[in-house]
Amino acid sequence: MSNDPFIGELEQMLLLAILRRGDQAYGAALVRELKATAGRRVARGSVYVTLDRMEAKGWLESRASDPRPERGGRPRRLLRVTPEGIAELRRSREALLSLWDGVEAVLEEG
Amino acid sequence: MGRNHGPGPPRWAASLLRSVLSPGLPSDGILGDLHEEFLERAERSLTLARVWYATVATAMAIRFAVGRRQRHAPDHEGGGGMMVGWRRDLVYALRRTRSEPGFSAVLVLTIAVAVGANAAIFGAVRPVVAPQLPFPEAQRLVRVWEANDQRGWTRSSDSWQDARDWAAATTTLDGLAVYNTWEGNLVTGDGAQRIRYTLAEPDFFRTLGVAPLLGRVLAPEEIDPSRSDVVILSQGLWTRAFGADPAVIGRTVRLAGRTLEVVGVMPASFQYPAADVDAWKPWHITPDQGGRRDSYWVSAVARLAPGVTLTQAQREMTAIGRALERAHPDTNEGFRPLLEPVADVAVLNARQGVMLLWGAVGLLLLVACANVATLLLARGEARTTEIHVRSSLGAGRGALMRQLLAESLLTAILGGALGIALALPALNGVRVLLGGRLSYGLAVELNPAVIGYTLLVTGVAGIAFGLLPALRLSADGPGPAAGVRGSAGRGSFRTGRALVIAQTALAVVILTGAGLLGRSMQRLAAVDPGFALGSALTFRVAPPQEGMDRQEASVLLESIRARVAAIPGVTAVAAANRLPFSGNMWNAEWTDQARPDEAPLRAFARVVQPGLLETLGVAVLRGRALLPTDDAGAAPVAVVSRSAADRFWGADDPIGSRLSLAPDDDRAPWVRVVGIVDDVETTQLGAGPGAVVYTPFEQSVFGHFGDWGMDYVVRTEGEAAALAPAVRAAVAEVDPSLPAFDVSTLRERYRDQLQAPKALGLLMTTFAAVALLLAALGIYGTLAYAVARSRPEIGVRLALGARPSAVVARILGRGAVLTGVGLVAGLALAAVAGRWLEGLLFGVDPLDPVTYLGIVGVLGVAALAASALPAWRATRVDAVEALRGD
Repeated sequence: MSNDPFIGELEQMLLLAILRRGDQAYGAALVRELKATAGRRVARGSVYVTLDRMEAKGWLESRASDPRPERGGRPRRLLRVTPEGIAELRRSREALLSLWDGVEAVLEEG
Repeated sequence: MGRNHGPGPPRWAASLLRSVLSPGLPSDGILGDLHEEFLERAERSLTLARVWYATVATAMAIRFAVGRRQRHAPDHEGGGGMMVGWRRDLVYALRRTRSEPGFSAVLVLTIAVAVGANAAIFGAVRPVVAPQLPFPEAQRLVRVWEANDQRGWTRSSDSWQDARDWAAATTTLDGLAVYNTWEGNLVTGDGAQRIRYTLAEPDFFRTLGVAPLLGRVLAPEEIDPSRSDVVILSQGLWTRAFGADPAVIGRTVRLAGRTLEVVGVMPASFQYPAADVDAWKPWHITPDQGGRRDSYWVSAVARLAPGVTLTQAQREMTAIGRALERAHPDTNEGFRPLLEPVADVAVLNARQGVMLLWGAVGLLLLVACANVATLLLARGEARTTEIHVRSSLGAGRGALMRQLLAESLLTAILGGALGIALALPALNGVRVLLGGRLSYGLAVELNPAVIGYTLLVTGVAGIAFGLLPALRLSADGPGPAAGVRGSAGRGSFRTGRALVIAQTALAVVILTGAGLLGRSMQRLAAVDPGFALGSALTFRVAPPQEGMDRQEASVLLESIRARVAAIPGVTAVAAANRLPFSGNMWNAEWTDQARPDEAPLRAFARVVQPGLLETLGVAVLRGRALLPTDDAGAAPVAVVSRSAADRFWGADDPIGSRLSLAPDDDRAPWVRVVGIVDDVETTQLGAGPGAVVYTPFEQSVFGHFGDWGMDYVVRTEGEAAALAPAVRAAVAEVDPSLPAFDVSTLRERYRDQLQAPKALGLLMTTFAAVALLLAALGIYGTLAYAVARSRPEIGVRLALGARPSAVVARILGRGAVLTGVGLVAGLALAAVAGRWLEGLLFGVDPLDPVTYLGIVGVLGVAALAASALPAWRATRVDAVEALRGD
C-alpha cells in the first residue's frame, strides 16, 4: 500500500466534491461544484474519464436514479465514495498535512 | 422545416457521442447531464445552446475515442509502434498549437470557415444529388408530362383523354394514375379551414406504394361514383383538426360541400403531390368531365414495370404518342408524352442553385487550403533551425514529414469541429434559399451523412494543405545547424508565390459569380411589376364549387366586397380569379371574328370584378376599363393587355374586335374588346408580361377559369397588414363556413418573388467575401515574409541612399505582379465557368463587362491594402540592425 502513488489532483477534487454533494452527486453537478467552490473549470471529458477510472479502482460506486424528463428520459448516474475511496483521501490528506507542517509560515510571509 | 430543428439538442451530435460510448449507466449519465445543461442554456438562447452542445459533444467524443485507442494500443516504453509515434506527434503538435495561439487561431479559423460552408451546402447537395424519396423502389416512379417542341412546351400538364389512351396502350408502365389538386373548405366540428386536397384515381396509391398510417388507402371499387364519398387525411391535418385521435376512422367531415367518411391517414413522410396537400379523395371522372383532348389540366404519375428501363418505357410511350398524333391530327400535332423520374422532378427547381453553391464552396475550400499552406510554408522558414537539429539528431525524412503532417491534421480537426458548429446557422440560410423548392418530403438537414462528408473534406484538406509544406521543409536533411539559411528557403518562397497566385485566381472566380448574381438581383428588383405596390392587402376565398351557380356566386362575392369595403381605412376592394405572380394558370385561346382562320390569341384569362384594375393600379391606355354596368344583362365585353394587343393585332386597333373562346359553338358569346390596359408581370417577376384578356365575372362562364375561388385586393390607408383581422372577420360575417386564406400584403407577394435570388446572392457574396479576405491574407503573408527575408538587402540599399519610395515601389510592384497574374488567370477561368450561371441570371450576360471591371477594382483595392503594410515596414528597416540580426 505504501508504495502506491498518491491520488491525482482531479481525483482528489472529485472525491471531495462527491462527498460535499451527498446524495445529489452526479456528473453535471460535480462540474458545477468544482467551478463554484474551487474556481476550477475542468474539461467534462476528463471528469467522466476520471470517474470511470476511480470506479474501476473501487473508490466509487454508482447507481441509477429514476429516469427524468429534463434528461431526455435518462437516469442520473448517482455517485458515492466507497470506504476504499475514503481511505485513499485520508492517506493523501495525512501525507499532505505532514508535508505542510512547518511550511505554513513561509506562505504567510509571501 | 428541417427535422433537426426542434427544441432538443442536435441529434447528430448526440448520436456521435453515443457511438463512442458503450451503452449503460455511464453513457446515460453523460448524455443525460448534457441534455440537462442544454435545456438550461436553451432557455437563454436555443441557437447558442445547440452550438454549445455540438461543440462539447464532439470534443468529448474525440476525447473518449482517443482514450480508448490509448488503452488498446500496445504499451511500448521506448516508443516504436506506428500508433505510438503518431500519438507522440499529435501531443507535440498540440503543444505547438498552444504555444502559438494567434497563428494557430488564424489557421483553424480559415479551415473552419471553409469546412463550415461546405458542410452547410452539402446539407442541401445531398437531397439534390441523391434524393431519398419515401416511396418503395422510388427509382421506378416517373411523372408523365406532355411535351411539344413546336410550341416550346417541355413539362406541360396532361390532357385527360391522352392520359387515358396512354394508360390503355402501355405495357412498360405498371399503373399510370391521373390526379389533380384542388382547394376546398374543410368543415369539422369546430369551424372551417382551407385545405388543398388531391383528387386521385384509385391506382394512385398502388402506384406510389406507400402504406397508410391508419385505416386504408383508396380501393379500386371506389372508382364507382356511388361509393366515392370517402377521404384520406394527411398526418398533419389529422393532428391539427382531430388531435391525432385514432378513432377518426369512420368519422365524417365536410369537404368542398360534400360529406365524406374518413377511411385512412397517411404518414407525414407521404407528401405527394405536394407538402401542403392535406387530403386525398377518389376521383371518378367521366369522359364528359375529362374535357377536350387539347385541354391540358391533369397530372400523371406511373411506375416502370419490373425490369423496364426509363429509355425502354420512353421509346414505347413516344410510339404511343405518334399513334395518337395520327389518330387526332387536329389536336395532337407535335405532342408526345415525356417521362421524367419523380426524383428528378423533386429537385428540379433547386438543383442549379445548389450545384453552383457547391462549386463555390469547393473553390473556397481550395483557397483556404492554399492559404494555410502558404502560411505554414512561411512559418516553416522560421523553423528551419529546429528541423535541421531534429534531422541532425537522426530523425529520418519520414519521421519529419509525419511530425509536420500531424500538425496540419490537428489544425484540420480543430477547424473541422469548429466548422460544423458554424454550419448550423449557415444551414438556415440554405433552407431559406430552398424554401419550398424541394418536393415530396426532401429536407435540408445536418445529418450523419453530412457530418461524414465534412470529416472526409476535413481530412483531405488537412493532408492537402499539409503535404506541400511537409515535403518542402523536410527535403533539407542535415545541414548547417543555425543561422545560415538553407536552400529550402528559395524553393519554398517560389512555392508560396505559386500558391498565392492560385488562391487569388480562385477567389476571382467566386467573386465573379457573386458579382454576376448581385447584378442580376439588382436588375430583377428594378423590374416594374406593372401594378402599384403601395399599401394593399390580398386574400382569397373559395366557395364550394358544387351546388352553386353564377348568380349565387356573384351575390356572395359582391357581399364580401361590400362588407370589406365598409371597413374603416379601406379605400377600394375588388377580386380576380388570379392576381399577378400566380404562375402559369388559366391559359385560353380566343379566336378573332374578323380572322377566323388565323392562329387564335393565346392569353391568360382573368375574370374580374369591376374596379379590379383600378384597385391594382393598372393604367387604362386606350378605350375604357370594365364597369359595374358590364353585368349579366349587358353586351359581353373584354379589355386586353398591351402585350396581347401588340402580339395579336400588331399595328391594327383591337378596340371593337370580337373574340370567342368557342367560335364553332353557336351558344358561346362573341366578346367585344373595349379597352387596352398596361402590362403586368403575370406568371412571376422577371418572366415578362403575359398577354392577358380581362372579362367581367358577371359575363363569364362560371367556374371556367377557376373563378369559384377569387383573390381580393384591398387598398388601404395606412398599414395594410393591420387590417387583416378585420378583413377575416368581415368574410366570416358573410359566411362562417368560408375562410379568408392566403392573407398577405401585395408587397409581401412581391418580396416572395425576390427571396430565392436574394438568398442565393447573399450566400455567394458571403463566400466571395471570405475568399477575398483569404486571398488578401495570402498576399500579405507572402510579401511580409519576402520583406523579412530581404531585410539585410533593403537595409544596405537604404544605407547607400536608395529613396524609401523606391523600396515601397519594389514591394508594391511584387504585390501587383502576384495579384495581376492571379487576376488574369481568375478572369479567364470565370469566363469559362460563366456558363454555369446561365439560367440563374436575369438581364445580365455571363461576361458582363461592368461586373468584370468591378472585380478588377475590388481585387486591386484589396491587394493594395494587403501590400501596404509590408511596404511600409520595409522603409523602417535599419541597415545596421538588419545586418547584425543576420
